[in-house]
Amino acid sequence: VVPPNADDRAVRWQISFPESLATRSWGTDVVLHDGATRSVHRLDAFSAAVLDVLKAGPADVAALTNDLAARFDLDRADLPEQVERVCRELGRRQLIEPSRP
Amino acid sequence: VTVATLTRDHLAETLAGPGLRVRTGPFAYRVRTDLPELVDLIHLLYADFPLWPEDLVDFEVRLSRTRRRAPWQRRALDLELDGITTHRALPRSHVSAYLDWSLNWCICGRAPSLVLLHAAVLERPDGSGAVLMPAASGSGKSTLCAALACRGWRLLTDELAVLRVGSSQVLPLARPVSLKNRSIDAIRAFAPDRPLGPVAAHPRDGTVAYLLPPADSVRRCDEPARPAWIVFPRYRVDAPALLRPAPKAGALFRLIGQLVGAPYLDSDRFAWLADLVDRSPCFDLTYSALEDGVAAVEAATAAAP
Repeated sequence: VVPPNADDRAVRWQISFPESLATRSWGTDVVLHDGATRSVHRLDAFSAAVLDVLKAGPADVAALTNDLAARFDLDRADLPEQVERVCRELGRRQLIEPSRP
Repeated sequence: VTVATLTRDHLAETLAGPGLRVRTGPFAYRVRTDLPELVDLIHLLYADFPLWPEDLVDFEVRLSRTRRRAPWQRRALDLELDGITTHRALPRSHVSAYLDWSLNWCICGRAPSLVLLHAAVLERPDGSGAVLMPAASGSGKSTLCAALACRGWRLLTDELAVLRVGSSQVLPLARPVSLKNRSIDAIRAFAPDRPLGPVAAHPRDGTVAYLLPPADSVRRCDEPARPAWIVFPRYRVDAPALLRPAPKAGALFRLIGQLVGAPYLDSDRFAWLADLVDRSPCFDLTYSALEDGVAAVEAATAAAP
Protein backbone atom coordinates (compact mmCIF):
# COMPACT_ATOMS: atom_id res chain seq x y z
CA VAL A 1 0.00 0.00 0.00
CA VAL A 2 1.47 3.35 -1.00
CA PRO A 3 1.48 5.74 1.98
CA PRO A 4 -0.52 8.87 1.10
CA ASN A 5 1.19 12.24 1.45
CA ALA A 6 4.29 10.67 2.89
CA ASP A 7 7.75 11.78 2.01
CA ASP A 8 8.28 8.97 -0.45
CA ARG A 9 12.02 9.40 -0.46
CA ALA A 10 12.16 8.45 3.20
CA VAL A 11 10.18 5.27 2.67
CA ARG A 12 12.13 2.05 2.59
CA TRP A 13 10.60 -0.21 0.00
CA GLN A 14 10.56 -3.98 -0.07
CA ILE A 15 9.18 -6.56 -2.44
CA SER A 16 5.76 -7.71 -1.22
CA PHE A 17 6.20 -11.40 -2.07
CA PRO A 18 9.81 -11.92 -3.13
CA GLU A 19 9.53 -15.71 -3.44
CA SER A 20 6.58 -15.55 -5.79
CA LEU A 21 7.99 -13.35 -8.58
CA ALA A 22 8.99 -14.82 -11.91
CA THR A 23 10.11 -12.82 -14.90
CA ARG A 24 10.64 -13.45 -18.57
CA SER A 25 12.48 -10.88 -20.64
CA TRP A 26 13.09 -10.26 -24.31
CA GLY A 27 15.53 -7.42 -24.83
CA THR A 28 14.35 -4.52 -22.65
CA ASP A 29 10.79 -5.83 -22.43
CA VAL A 30 9.96 -7.74 -19.25
CA VAL A 31 6.84 -9.68 -18.29
CA LEU A 32 6.53 -10.38 -14.58
CA HIS A 33 4.27 -12.91 -12.89
CA ASP A 34 3.41 -12.55 -9.23
CA GLY A 35 2.41 -16.00 -8.04
CA ALA A 36 1.05 -14.63 -4.77
CA THR A 37 -1.57 -12.44 -6.41
CA ARG A 38 -1.64 -14.43 -9.71
CA SER A 39 -1.20 -11.15 -11.53
CA VAL A 40 0.90 -10.39 -14.61
CA HIS A 41 2.69 -7.12 -15.32
CA ARG A 42 4.56 -5.75 -18.28
CA LEU A 43 7.57 -3.75 -17.18
CA ASP A 44 10.25 -1.69 -18.84
CA ALA A 45 13.90 -2.43 -18.16
CA PHE A 46 14.23 0.34 -15.56
CA SER A 47 11.29 -0.87 -13.44
CA ALA A 48 12.62 -4.40 -13.66
CA ALA A 49 16.01 -3.13 -12.50
CA VAL A 50 14.42 -1.43 -9.48
CA LEU A 51 12.79 -4.72 -8.55
CA ASP A 52 16.07 -6.49 -9.08
CA VAL A 53 17.84 -4.16 -6.64
CA LEU A 54 15.06 -4.66 -4.09
CA LYS A 55 15.58 -8.42 -4.26
CA ALA A 56 18.69 -7.83 -2.15
CA GLY A 57 16.60 -6.24 0.60
CA PRO A 58 14.61 -3.12 1.54
CA ALA A 59 15.95 0.19 0.25
CA ASP A 60 14.90 3.83 0.12
CA VAL A 61 14.99 6.06 -2.95
CA ALA A 62 18.51 7.30 -2.19
CA ALA A 63 19.91 3.80 -1.85
CA LEU A 64 18.10 2.64 -4.97
CA THR A 65 19.40 5.64 -6.88
CA ASN A 66 22.99 4.94 -5.84
CA ASP A 67 22.74 1.28 -6.72
CA LEU A 68 21.11 1.86 -10.12
CA ALA A 69 23.50 4.69 -11.03
CA ALA A 70 26.45 2.47 -10.25
CA ARG A 71 25.05 -0.56 -12.05
CA PHE A 72 24.05 1.17 -15.26
CA ASP A 73 26.32 4.20 -15.24
CA LEU A 74 23.33 6.58 -15.23
CA ASP A 75 23.25 10.34 -14.86
CA ARG A 76 22.09 11.06 -11.31
CA ALA A 77 20.41 14.39 -12.13
CA ASP A 78 16.83 13.15 -12.62
CA LEU A 79 17.35 9.70 -11.25
CA PRO A 80 15.76 10.13 -7.77
CA GLU A 81 12.51 11.44 -9.34
CA GLN A 82 12.52 8.56 -11.78
CA VAL A 83 13.12 6.00 -9.03
CA GLU A 84 10.44 7.59 -6.88
CA ARG A 85 7.94 7.45 -9.75
CA VAL A 86 8.71 3.81 -10.43
CA CYS A 87 8.42 2.90 -6.74
CA ARG A 88 5.01 4.56 -6.57
CA GLU A 89 3.88 2.63 -9.63
CA LEU A 90 5.24 -0.70 -8.38
CA GLY A 91 3.58 0.04 -5.04
CA ARG A 92 0.28 0.78 -6.78
CA ARG A 93 0.54 -2.61 -8.43
CA GLN A 94 1.25 -4.15 -5.00
CA LEU A 95 4.54 -5.57 -6.17
CA ILE A 96 6.42 -3.60 -3.50
CA GLU A 97 5.37 -2.09 -0.19
CA PRO A 98 6.83 0.12 2.51
CA SER A 99 9.16 -1.85 4.71
CA ARG A 100 7.96 -2.31 8.27
CA PRO A 101 10.46 -1.37 10.96
CA VAL B 1 -20.51 -44.66 -34.86
CA THR B 2 -21.53 -41.07 -35.47
CA VAL B 3 -24.65 -38.95 -35.02
CA ALA B 4 -25.26 -39.30 -38.77
CA THR B 5 -26.10 -42.99 -38.27
CA LEU B 6 -29.26 -41.95 -36.42
CA THR B 7 -32.37 -41.03 -38.40
CA ARG B 8 -33.92 -37.66 -37.66
CA ASP B 9 -36.74 -39.38 -35.73
CA HIS B 10 -34.39 -41.60 -33.76
CA LEU B 11 -32.23 -38.58 -32.94
CA ALA B 12 -35.30 -36.65 -31.74
CA GLU B 13 -36.34 -39.58 -29.53
CA THR B 14 -32.84 -39.89 -28.10
CA LEU B 15 -32.56 -36.18 -27.40
CA ALA B 16 -35.99 -36.08 -25.76
CA GLY B 17 -35.36 -39.27 -23.79
CA PRO B 18 -32.06 -40.57 -22.45
CA GLY B 19 -30.07 -37.85 -24.18
CA LEU B 20 -27.50 -37.85 -26.93
CA ARG B 21 -24.01 -38.68 -25.67
CA VAL B 22 -21.29 -37.30 -27.91
CA ARG B 23 -17.62 -36.62 -27.64
CA THR B 24 -15.60 -33.58 -28.59
CA GLY B 25 -11.88 -33.91 -27.99
CA PRO B 26 -11.23 -34.68 -24.33
CA PHE B 27 -14.86 -34.14 -23.28
CA ALA B 28 -17.86 -36.45 -23.42
CA TYR B 29 -21.23 -34.90 -22.73
CA ARG B 30 -24.95 -35.51 -22.89
CA VAL B 31 -27.41 -33.20 -24.64
CA ARG B 32 -31.14 -33.34 -24.04
CA THR B 33 -33.82 -31.33 -25.77
CA ASP B 34 -37.45 -31.41 -26.80
CA LEU B 35 -37.05 -28.46 -29.17
CA PRO B 36 -37.50 -29.58 -32.80
CA GLU B 37 -35.39 -26.73 -34.15
CA LEU B 38 -32.48 -27.89 -31.99
CA VAL B 39 -32.92 -31.47 -33.17
CA ASP B 40 -32.62 -30.24 -36.76
CA LEU B 41 -29.56 -28.19 -35.88
CA ILE B 42 -27.80 -31.10 -34.16
CA HIS B 43 -28.76 -33.43 -37.01
CA LEU B 44 -27.00 -31.08 -39.43
CA LEU B 45 -24.05 -29.69 -37.47
CA TYR B 46 -23.11 -32.65 -35.31
CA ALA B 47 -23.54 -35.32 -38.00
CA ASP B 48 -19.89 -36.40 -37.94
CA PHE B 49 -19.50 -36.40 -34.16
CA PRO B 50 -18.77 -39.78 -32.57
CA LEU B 51 -21.39 -41.14 -30.21
CA TRP B 52 -20.07 -41.77 -26.72
CA PRO B 53 -20.85 -45.36 -25.70
CA GLU B 54 -20.50 -44.92 -21.92
CA ASP B 55 -23.20 -43.64 -19.62
CA LEU B 56 -20.68 -41.64 -17.65
CA VAL B 57 -20.13 -38.19 -19.15
CA ASP B 58 -18.23 -35.07 -18.11
CA PHE B 59 -21.31 -32.87 -18.13
CA GLU B 60 -24.89 -32.63 -19.27
CA VAL B 61 -26.79 -29.85 -21.00
CA ARG B 62 -30.54 -29.67 -21.39
CA LEU B 63 -32.50 -27.10 -23.36
CA SER B 64 -36.23 -27.62 -23.12
CA ARG B 65 -39.56 -25.86 -23.46
CA THR B 66 -39.96 -23.54 -20.53
CA ARG B 67 -42.06 -24.69 -17.61
CA ARG B 68 -43.38 -21.18 -17.22
CA ARG B 69 -46.53 -20.88 -19.21
CA ALA B 70 -47.34 -17.20 -19.32
CA PRO B 71 -48.66 -16.34 -22.79
CA TRP B 72 -45.57 -14.33 -23.66
CA GLN B 73 -43.31 -17.23 -22.65
CA ARG B 74 -44.71 -19.91 -24.94
CA ARG B 75 -41.72 -19.57 -27.23
CA ALA B 76 -39.18 -19.71 -24.44
CA LEU B 77 -36.74 -22.33 -23.21
CA ASP B 78 -35.18 -23.36 -19.92
CA LEU B 79 -31.52 -24.25 -19.66
CA GLU B 80 -30.27 -26.96 -17.32
CA LEU B 81 -26.62 -27.70 -16.67
CA ASP B 82 -25.91 -30.97 -14.89
CA GLY B 83 -29.52 -31.23 -13.77
CA ILE B 84 -29.73 -27.74 -12.30
CA THR B 85 -31.91 -25.17 -14.01
CA THR B 86 -29.63 -22.19 -14.44
CA HIS B 87 -31.80 -20.04 -16.72
CA ARG B 88 -35.55 -19.90 -17.25
CA ALA B 89 -37.67 -18.48 -20.07
CA LEU B 90 -34.86 -17.64 -22.45
CA PRO B 91 -35.91 -16.69 -25.98
CA ARG B 92 -36.05 -19.77 -28.20
CA SER B 93 -34.86 -17.78 -31.19
CA HIS B 94 -31.41 -17.85 -29.54
CA VAL B 95 -31.34 -21.61 -29.05
CA SER B 96 -28.24 -22.29 -31.19
CA ALA B 97 -26.23 -19.67 -29.32
CA TYR B 98 -27.39 -21.04 -25.96
CA LEU B 99 -26.28 -24.55 -26.89
CA ASP B 100 -22.86 -23.22 -27.87
CA TRP B 101 -22.59 -21.05 -24.77
CA SER B 102 -23.65 -23.80 -22.38
CA LEU B 103 -21.11 -26.26 -23.83
CA ASN B 104 -18.37 -23.63 -23.46
CA TRP B 105 -19.48 -22.88 -19.92
CA CYS B 106 -19.32 -26.55 -18.92
CA ILE B 107 -15.98 -27.12 -20.63
CA CYS B 108 -14.47 -24.13 -18.83
CA GLY B 109 -15.70 -25.50 -15.52
CA ARG B 110 -14.46 -29.03 -16.13
CA ALA B 111 -10.90 -28.37 -17.15
CA PRO B 112 -8.99 -27.08 -14.13
CA SER B 113 -5.96 -29.14 -15.10
CA LEU B 114 -5.85 -27.67 -18.60
CA VAL B 115 -5.03 -24.21 -19.90
CA LEU B 116 -7.94 -22.67 -21.82
CA LEU B 117 -7.47 -19.68 -24.08
CA HIS B 118 -9.84 -17.62 -26.19
CA ALA B 119 -8.14 -18.65 -29.41
CA ALA B 120 -8.72 -20.46 -32.66
CA VAL B 121 -6.30 -23.28 -33.44
CA LEU B 122 -5.72 -24.94 -36.79
CA GLU B 123 -3.11 -27.39 -37.98
CA ARG B 124 -1.41 -26.82 -41.31
CA PRO B 125 -2.54 -29.21 -44.05
CA ASP B 126 0.98 -30.72 -44.16
CA GLY B 127 0.77 -31.50 -40.42
CA SER B 128 3.93 -29.53 -39.64
CA GLY B 129 2.37 -27.66 -36.73
CA ALA B 130 -0.60 -25.69 -35.50
CA VAL B 131 -1.20 -21.98 -35.47
CA LEU B 132 -2.69 -20.41 -32.37
CA MET B 133 -4.84 -17.33 -33.08
CA PRO B 134 -5.70 -15.68 -29.75
CA ALA B 135 -8.15 -12.80 -29.93
CA ALA B 136 -11.20 -11.38 -28.26
CA SER B 137 -14.67 -11.82 -29.65
CA GLY B 138 -15.30 -9.59 -32.66
CA SER B 139 -11.73 -9.56 -33.91
CA GLY B 140 -12.39 -11.70 -36.98
CA LYS B 141 -10.76 -14.77 -35.46
CA SER B 142 -13.59 -17.22 -36.15
CA THR B 143 -14.08 -15.94 -39.70
CA LEU B 144 -10.43 -16.43 -40.55
CA CYS B 145 -10.51 -19.77 -38.78
CA ALA B 146 -13.50 -20.88 -40.87
CA ALA B 147 -11.77 -19.76 -44.06
CA LEU B 148 -8.63 -21.74 -43.20
CA ALA B 149 -10.73 -24.81 -42.32
CA CYS B 150 -12.39 -24.50 -45.74
CA ARG B 151 -8.90 -24.55 -47.29
CA GLY B 152 -7.90 -27.88 -45.80
CA TRP B 153 -6.42 -26.81 -42.46
CA ARG B 154 -7.40 -29.14 -39.62
CA LEU B 155 -9.77 -27.37 -37.25
CA LEU B 156 -8.90 -27.91 -33.61
CA THR B 157 -11.11 -25.14 -32.27
CA ASP B 158 -12.57 -21.85 -33.39
CA GLU B 159 -12.73 -20.17 -30.01
CA LEU B 160 -11.54 -22.23 -27.04
CA ALA B 161 -8.00 -23.57 -27.22
CA VAL B 162 -7.33 -26.45 -24.83
CA LEU B 163 -3.66 -26.75 -23.93
CA ARG B 164 -2.09 -29.40 -21.77
CA VAL B 165 0.62 -27.94 -19.60
CA GLY B 166 3.85 -29.85 -19.76
CA SER B 167 3.14 -31.78 -22.92
CA SER B 168 3.41 -28.87 -25.40
CA GLN B 169 0.21 -30.01 -27.04
CA VAL B 170 -3.07 -28.47 -27.97
CA LEU B 171 -6.04 -30.81 -27.73
CA PRO B 172 -8.73 -30.90 -30.43
CA LEU B 173 -12.11 -29.40 -29.61
CA ALA B 174 -13.58 -29.18 -33.10
CA ARG B 175 -17.15 -27.95 -32.99
CA PRO B 176 -19.38 -26.02 -35.37
CA VAL B 177 -17.71 -22.68 -36.11
CA SER B 178 -19.65 -19.70 -34.83
CA LEU B 179 -20.02 -16.96 -37.44
CA LYS B 180 -21.69 -13.68 -36.62
CA ASN B 181 -23.26 -10.92 -38.69
CA ARG B 182 -21.15 -10.01 -41.75
CA SER B 183 -18.95 -13.08 -41.25
CA ILE B 184 -21.86 -15.25 -42.37
CA ASP B 185 -21.99 -13.72 -45.85
CA ALA B 186 -18.21 -13.50 -45.99
CA ILE B 187 -17.90 -17.29 -45.56
CA ARG B 188 -20.81 -17.94 -47.92
CA ALA B 189 -18.93 -15.99 -50.57
CA PHE B 190 -15.57 -17.55 -49.70
CA ALA B 191 -16.76 -21.17 -49.66
CA PRO B 192 -20.22 -21.37 -51.22
CA ASP B 193 -20.26 -25.17 -51.15
CA ARG B 194 -19.70 -25.49 -47.37
CA PRO B 195 -22.85 -26.21 -45.32
CA LEU B 196 -23.97 -23.55 -42.88
CA GLY B 197 -26.72 -23.90 -40.32
CA PRO B 198 -29.66 -21.51 -40.32
CA VAL B 199 -29.09 -17.87 -39.45
CA ALA B 200 -30.49 -17.21 -36.00
CA ALA B 201 -30.62 -14.42 -33.48
CA HIS B 202 -27.73 -14.08 -31.04
CA PRO B 203 -28.43 -12.76 -27.53
CA ARG B 204 -25.62 -10.20 -27.74
CA ASP B 205 -24.20 -9.98 -31.23
CA GLY B 206 -27.01 -9.67 -33.77
CA THR B 207 -27.14 -12.84 -35.84
CA VAL B 208 -25.23 -16.10 -35.76
CA ALA B 209 -24.87 -19.12 -38.04
CA TYR B 210 -22.69 -22.18 -37.53
CA LEU B 211 -20.40 -23.70 -40.11
CA LEU B 212 -20.32 -27.48 -40.23
CA PRO B 213 -16.85 -28.51 -38.99
CA PRO B 214 -14.82 -30.54 -41.51
CA ALA B 215 -15.52 -34.26 -41.01
CA ASP B 216 -11.81 -35.05 -40.94
CA SER B 217 -11.26 -32.56 -38.08
CA VAL B 218 -14.09 -34.10 -36.05
CA ARG B 219 -12.90 -37.64 -36.75
CA ARG B 220 -9.37 -36.85 -35.56
CA CYS B 221 -10.60 -35.73 -32.14
CA ASP B 222 -7.96 -37.92 -30.45
CA GLU B 223 -4.98 -36.36 -32.20
CA PRO B 224 -3.38 -33.43 -30.42
CA ALA B 225 -1.28 -30.97 -32.37
CA ARG B 226 1.89 -29.08 -31.64
CA PRO B 227 1.40 -25.31 -31.41
CA ALA B 228 4.18 -23.82 -33.50
CA TRP B 229 3.10 -20.28 -34.45
CA ILE B 230 1.06 -17.53 -32.82
CA VAL B 231 -0.89 -15.07 -34.96
CA PHE B 232 -2.97 -12.28 -33.44
CA PRO B 233 -5.65 -11.58 -36.04
CA ARG B 234 -7.55 -8.34 -36.38
CA TYR B 235 -10.21 -7.59 -38.95
CA ARG B 236 -10.34 -3.99 -40.13
CA VAL B 237 -12.74 -2.80 -42.79
CA ASP B 238 -10.97 -2.18 -46.11
CA ALA B 239 -7.51 -2.62 -44.58
CA PRO B 240 -4.88 -4.28 -46.75
CA ALA B 241 -3.47 -7.49 -45.29
CA LEU B 242 -0.51 -6.66 -43.10
CA LEU B 243 1.57 -9.30 -41.34
CA ARG B 244 4.21 -8.12 -38.88
CA PRO B 245 6.36 -9.89 -36.32
CA ALA B 246 4.95 -9.28 -32.84
CA PRO B 247 7.33 -8.45 -29.98
CA LYS B 248 7.51 -11.43 -27.63
CA ALA B 249 6.80 -9.68 -24.35
CA GLY B 250 3.67 -8.07 -25.79
CA ALA B 251 2.67 -11.41 -27.30
CA LEU B 252 2.96 -13.16 -23.93
CA PHE B 253 1.02 -10.40 -22.22
CA ARG B 254 -1.77 -10.55 -24.81
CA LEU B 255 -1.81 -14.35 -24.73
CA ILE B 256 -2.32 -14.26 -20.97
CA GLY B 257 -5.04 -11.66 -21.57
CA GLN B 258 -7.00 -14.31 -23.48
CA LEU B 259 -6.65 -16.89 -20.74
CA VAL B 260 -9.93 -18.32 -19.49
CA GLY B 261 -9.88 -18.44 -15.71
CA ALA B 262 -6.95 -16.12 -15.06
CA PRO B 263 -6.91 -17.06 -11.33
CA TYR B 264 -5.53 -20.42 -12.41
CA LEU B 265 -2.37 -18.78 -13.72
CA ASP B 266 0.17 -20.15 -11.30
CA SER B 267 3.91 -19.92 -11.81
CA ASP B 268 4.10 -23.24 -13.68
CA ARG B 269 1.52 -22.12 -16.21
CA PHE B 270 3.18 -18.75 -16.58
CA ALA B 271 6.50 -20.43 -17.31
CA TRP B 272 4.83 -22.82 -19.74
CA LEU B 273 3.10 -20.01 -21.65
CA ALA B 274 6.32 -17.99 -21.69
CA ASP B 275 8.17 -20.98 -23.15
CA LEU B 276 5.45 -21.36 -25.77
CA VAL B 277 5.83 -17.72 -26.81
CA ASP B 278 9.61 -17.98 -26.70
CA ARG B 279 9.81 -20.87 -29.15
CA SER B 280 6.93 -19.78 -31.45
CA PRO B 281 7.26 -17.09 -34.09
CA CYS B 282 4.62 -14.46 -33.22
CA PHE B 283 2.80 -12.20 -35.67
CA ASP B 284 0.21 -9.45 -35.79
CA LEU B 285 -2.13 -9.79 -38.72
CA THR B 286 -4.51 -7.10 -39.90
CA TYR B 287 -6.80 -8.08 -42.76
CA SER B 288 -10.09 -7.37 -44.45
CA ALA B 289 -10.26 -9.73 -47.47
CA LEU B 290 -10.40 -13.36 -46.41
CA GLU B 291 -8.24 -14.54 -49.33
CA ASP B 292 -5.50 -12.16 -48.17
CA GLY B 293 -5.89 -13.23 -44.55
CA VAL B 294 -5.55 -16.90 -45.46
CA ALA B 295 -2.51 -16.16 -47.65
CA ALA B 296 -0.90 -14.21 -44.79
CA VAL B 297 -1.38 -17.07 -42.31
CA GLU B 298 0.02 -19.50 -44.88
CA ALA B 299 3.05 -17.21 -45.32
CA ALA B 300 3.55 -16.78 -41.57
CA THR B 301 3.58 -20.54 -41.03
CA ALA B 302 5.47 -21.58 -44.16
CA ALA B 303 8.80 -21.86 -42.42
CA ALA B 304 9.33 -24.29 -39.55
CA PRO B 305 9.97 -22.46 -36.27
